[in-house]
Amino acid sequence: SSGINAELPLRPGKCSVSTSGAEDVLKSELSSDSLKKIFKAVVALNNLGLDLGESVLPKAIDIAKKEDTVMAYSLAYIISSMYNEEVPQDLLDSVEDIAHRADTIGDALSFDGGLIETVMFLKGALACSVKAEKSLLNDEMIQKFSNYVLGNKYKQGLSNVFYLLSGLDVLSNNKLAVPTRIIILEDSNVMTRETEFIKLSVVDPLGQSIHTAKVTIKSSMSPLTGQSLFGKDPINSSTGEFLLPKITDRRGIYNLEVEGGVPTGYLAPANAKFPAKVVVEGKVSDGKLKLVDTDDNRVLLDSDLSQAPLQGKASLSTRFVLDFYVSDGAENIAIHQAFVRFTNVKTGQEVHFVAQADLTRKYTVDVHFRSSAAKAFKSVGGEYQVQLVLGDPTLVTSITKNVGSINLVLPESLIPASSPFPKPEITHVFREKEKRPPQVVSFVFTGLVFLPAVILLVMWGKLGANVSNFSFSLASVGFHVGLLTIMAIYVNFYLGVNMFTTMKCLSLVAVVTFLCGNRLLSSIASARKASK
Amino acid sequence: AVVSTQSGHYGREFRDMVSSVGAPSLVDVVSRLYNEYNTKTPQKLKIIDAYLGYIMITGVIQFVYCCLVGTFPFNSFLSGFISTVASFVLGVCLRIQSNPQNTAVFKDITVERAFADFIFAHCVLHLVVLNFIG
Repeated sequence: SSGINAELPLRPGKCSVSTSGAEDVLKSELSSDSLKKIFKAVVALNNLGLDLGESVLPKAIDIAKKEDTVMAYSLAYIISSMYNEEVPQDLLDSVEDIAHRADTIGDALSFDGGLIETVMFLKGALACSVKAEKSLLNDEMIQKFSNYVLGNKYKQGLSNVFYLLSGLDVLSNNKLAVPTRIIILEDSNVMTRETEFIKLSVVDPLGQSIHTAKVTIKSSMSPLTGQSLFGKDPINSSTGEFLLPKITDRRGIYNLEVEGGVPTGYLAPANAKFPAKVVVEGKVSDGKLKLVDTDDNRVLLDSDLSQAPLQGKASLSTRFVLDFYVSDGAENIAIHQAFVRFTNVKTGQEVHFVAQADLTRKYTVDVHFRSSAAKAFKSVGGEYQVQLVLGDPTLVTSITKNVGSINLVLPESLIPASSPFPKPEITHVFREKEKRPPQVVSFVFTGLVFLPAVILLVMWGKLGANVSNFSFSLASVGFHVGLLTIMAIYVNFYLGVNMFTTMKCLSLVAVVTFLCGNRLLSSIASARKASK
Repeated sequence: AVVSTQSGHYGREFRDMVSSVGAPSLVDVVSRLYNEYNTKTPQKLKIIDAYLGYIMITGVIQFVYCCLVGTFPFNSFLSGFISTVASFVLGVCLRIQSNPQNTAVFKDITVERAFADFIFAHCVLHLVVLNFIG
């Protein structure tokens, strides 16, 4: 039995699981038709150190060929490695064909079934490779499968972790084609001036160092300064440790290009690129703070920062000047971020001013409170804590130096742009109702509007209008009733019935009224024509 | 002979007019109009005229009210006023179409047809007015 199936490292002496009766159960499962069951039976018998009996490999291969899935073939490969007989050639040939079913995403190769399917395939393929004493997958494939398995490093779940470790184990211990990569040890690519070594290593997928490997740093140039950490020529090391030459001004960021050489049985690692940086401890030196009253050119405060924390008072006419150098112990350096921060003690408001460096790398912050009070300080006065904040990627840590506190006195007329206290509440004012006339007036005019109707009836009476010609025919009655009904519908509509109902009723009545009216009027017309 | 008849025809009225002192006064014109109207206008048209007068007075009253108390609510005033205006217009249409002197112009439209149009238009008008009056 091969050492690859180390998933169950049974130590029969220490493990008190009773295995009596297991052999019969497992052997009976060997004649099952499910490839999974056959696989589990064979592996269990192998792990228990029991005799496997007659080879079920031909049956397994048949089932695998019939199912034609990656998992089926993978199980067949693993089963074939359990027996002492040689693996059949057609099974060995199928390994590469199945491998081509995997998908490439970036530099990772995987099967549709994900981590489980890929790892089972790797176990089977590498087990058969070891038995056949030659790698059945090409180097590039193994490297890419390894990249995929490693990519699942942070996945949660017991199943994921188990298969991750299984996969890494089989990749690292197959002794035929172990993929490798170059890593940096102990974060040694962040160096101080005192650091002696950069430590690199060539490791297998499980992270174990390959001691017989060789590392070469091809180039170590800083893109900004053009300087190299190790000189222009590549340097080798068989221990992975590279002694850093002592250059006084090594501060900066460098790009390392690294190559690795490995013995047989290992695949050469991909060329790696690492950033490396030399950092220094920064320090504020020769800092001076001056407060000057610009109206009468009086110096209010002139002190160096060794007396910090300093106290000062400022008004609109004050000018705040802060000079300083940043030193790394040996010389004054230029850094990326240097600014002064004023923090209002009461409101917490922060105001920043950037320090500008001149050619001698002297940094200056020059604040005229008259021009900055409204905009930068938002017209909020009070006591402000003053701090110097310095940052750069080549400083070990950023520096925050407490300079002191300034009491900024602003005149009352300056209204704060945004008060920290809540603004007065606005209550919603509803739209005022329109002025209506007194009810009496409205009633009088309502009556007045009906008055002309009365006058009309009187006039009609005087004119002799009458309904003596009214014939009580169906059409006549229907027409007049229809009109009255329409008026009733309209009154209803005014009283609140919606338009849809109104239109429905109206359409019915209108049809009736129209027909009746048509009949009536045409009869009147024909009667008139006849009488002419 | 034609000339003399014409002048005679016009001459009578002209003489009547000239017989009063100087140019005809406003009172004369108005009383003349009133007499002519009473005698020459058929009864049906007078009925319609009374109706038109009623509509107009109603419209004037509404307008005076609006001038007194303001236009709120404006939609109500508009719908009421425009109702009177539109009714007046429809009434005028009915009068024109039912005037026997105009039958030559309205050959295809009988009086009954004019009346039917009048009724139908009023139905639509009142529906719209009631919708708008709010």
